[in-house]
Order: sequence, then structure tokens, then C-alpha cells
Amino acid sequence: MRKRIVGLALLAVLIGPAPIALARARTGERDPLDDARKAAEQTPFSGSVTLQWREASVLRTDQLTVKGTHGTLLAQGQRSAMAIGAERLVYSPADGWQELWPAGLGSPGHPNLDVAYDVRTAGTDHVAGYPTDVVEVLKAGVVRDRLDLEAATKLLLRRRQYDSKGVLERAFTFDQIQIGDPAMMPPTPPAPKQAGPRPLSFSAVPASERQPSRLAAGYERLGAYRQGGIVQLVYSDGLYDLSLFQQQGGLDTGDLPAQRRTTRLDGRPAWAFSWPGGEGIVWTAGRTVYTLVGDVPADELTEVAASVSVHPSTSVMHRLRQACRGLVESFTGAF
Amino acid sequence: MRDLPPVDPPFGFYERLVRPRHRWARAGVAALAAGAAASVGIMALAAPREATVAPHVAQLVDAHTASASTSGDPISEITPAAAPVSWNR
Repeated sequence: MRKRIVGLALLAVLIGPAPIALARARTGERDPLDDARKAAEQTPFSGSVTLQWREASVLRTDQLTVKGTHGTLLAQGQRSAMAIGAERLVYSPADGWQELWPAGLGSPGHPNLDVAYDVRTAGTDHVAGYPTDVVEVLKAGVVRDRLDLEAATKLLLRRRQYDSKGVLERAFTFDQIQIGDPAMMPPTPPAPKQAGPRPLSFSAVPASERQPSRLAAGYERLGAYRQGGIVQLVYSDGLYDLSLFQQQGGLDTGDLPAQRRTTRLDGRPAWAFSWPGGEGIVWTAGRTVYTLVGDVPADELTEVAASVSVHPSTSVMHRLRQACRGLVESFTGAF
Repeated sequence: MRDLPPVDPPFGFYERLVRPRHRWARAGVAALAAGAAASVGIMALAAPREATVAPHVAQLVDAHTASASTSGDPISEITPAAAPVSWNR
């Protein structure tokens, strides 16, 4: 009997990890963005790209050139953006090359795609003259991302992102591309300004800026960074990434983007905005100004923003004083 | 008894009930109100003006784009950084 129990225990130890390992292997095979990332690091290419993004009901477009090889990418539009390995840089004539993300910082990573999404192949197509394998990424049965990967290299040639109602939010499309010419190496920028963020352990995040490890819609906290006194908390659901910034003080609305849309978040006023790479929302609660940005659809961003923990004023006396100040200001104006 | 008309209190009955009977009581209420107003004023003056924050949205967007492009597809993530939206106010 004892031998049988020991045998069963041994069998459980040996067999137990197998399904987990199998699931991980399967997950690795099913993440098309990982394939695209590896292809972008290894495949020489040069081409022109059209970006489309929705700003309220208007679909805006812009065109840029992009080239890359051996882990170096250069995108050129109104300004230049560059990736050299894990380092990220931007160039503008006024400021020169500026480092956005230092090489040594690495990547915050992301959860497995299949935790929140289903992935399925959706036939083939052609983009910029190249045959593509089409992959659809679904959440709750709705296609949220449609990816065209070049059939031979898995380079991402087209990406179309949709909101929860299936409306196109954003698209990235190569109009023209040459793949495989290794002579297209972008030049390395000389001595960029070192102004990138620094990693921050979560225990070092000020208590007034701590947030839960998970937000709504399955977003998982991956890291914390500090730059210029501002803490950035990074979240991901495996497909989209979010950054939450918190600043102490009252909001100066006069400095928000002109193209903002006024909305409400849990009864509080909030201001939403769009840019070619995603959506953002700014709101204030307690003594903190919150800015949440990400490449997520606008409706999901609002849902996630509503799940952010609000830190009220910690001191009752402070709140009493501010209430008195507000009362007096309502009669006399600012003093 | 049911057929009897309703009985109204004499003129000024309620006013006499709520009116303070003594001048010192009225003065006390006025002093309390003035004290409360003065306290609010002092508390308001003691409170420092809340510092205002103007989030530099363009910089925050750049910071997000940089971090996101290290974990996803770098081409589609970094390219929007070369097409910054005009943040004209």
C-alpha cells in the first residue's frame, strides 16, 4: 500500500508540470505579436506607412517612412523616433536627440495574450504586394485586433485595432515596403540627452500614488518608473499597454491638449484625448491629478480609469482648511 | 364634539414660542454666528493655496510609447512617436 502511494506521488510530480509546460509552449506559438517583434529585430526592411486614428468621430491619417535592421528601427515623420535594441529615442530640431527609454532598463514585459484574448487565424491577404497571414485577436467574442504578418518573415505589415463594438479605432499599414535589403541600416544618433526614466520598486512608490496590482478589464501591473518626480505605473492585459501617471496638486486645465473631449468619470469631470498611438484621459480626485494613457480603445480606457483607486486627502484638518478656503473664495473670489 | 370647529391658537402664539425671551440670548446667538464666521475666515487664511499641476501630456505620451514599444511589436508601437499630435492650446 505504502509503495503504491509513493508511486502515485512520484507520478504526480513527474506528470504534474507537463500540462503547464505544454500550455506555455502553446502560448508562445499563439502570440503573433511576439513573432512580429522577433521579425522586426532580425529582418532588414524599408517602407512607407500610413497611420489612421480616430479622434471622436473623425478618422485622421498621417504618412511616415520606417526602416530597420538588426534591432534598429527609424521612423520619420514630423520628427524622428528610433529604437536601438531596448533603447528608445526621439529627435526634434529644437531639442536634438533625446532618450525616452534607456537601453539598460529592459522591458516591463506583458502577460500571456491568451489570458484575456482568443487568437485565431483568418486566412491570407496581400499588403504592399507581399502575401500575409491574417491573425485575429478577440476579446469577449469581438475582434479587437487584426494583424497581417508577412508570410515568410512574420514582419507586421498591417495592424487594425477595433473597439468593443467593432469600430475601427486605429490602423497601421505599410503602403510600400522592401524586405531583405541589409544596406538600409539607419545611422546611430550621436550623444542623445540622457533623460529617460529610472526603475522604481513598488515598495518605493509613495503611499499616495500606490495602485492595486490589477485594474479593470484584466490589466496587470508590470512595473513602476520615475522620471522628473513623476511616477509611471505600467499595466498590460497581454495585448494593450497602459501607463498611469499621478501628480500631487490641483489640475490646471488651461494646459491640457486643445483637442480634448470633456467627459465624466464617476461623476467627476475628465478630459479625454487621442493621438496616433492611442488614447488618454486626465482627471482629478482628492489632491491628485491622474493621467492614464494607452494604445487601448477609448471605451476600455474609460472603464479602466474608473477602477483606479482614488486617494483622498489624508488629513482631516487639511480637508477642513481647504473647505473653509473654498467657502470664503466663493464669496470673495481668490485671495 | 366632532361637530365643533377647529381651535386656532391666538395671534402671535408661535412667534412667542420661538422668540428668545431674553436679550442676552439673542446676543449669544449673534456672537456664536460671528465666531463661526471668524473661525471659517481664519481657517481659510491658514490654508495654503493648493499647488496646481499642468500635466505635460506630450511628455507623458512619449514616456508611455517608449515603454510600450519595448514589450509589443516595436514597429507599430514606435512609429506613432514620429507623428506627434499638435498639442496647441
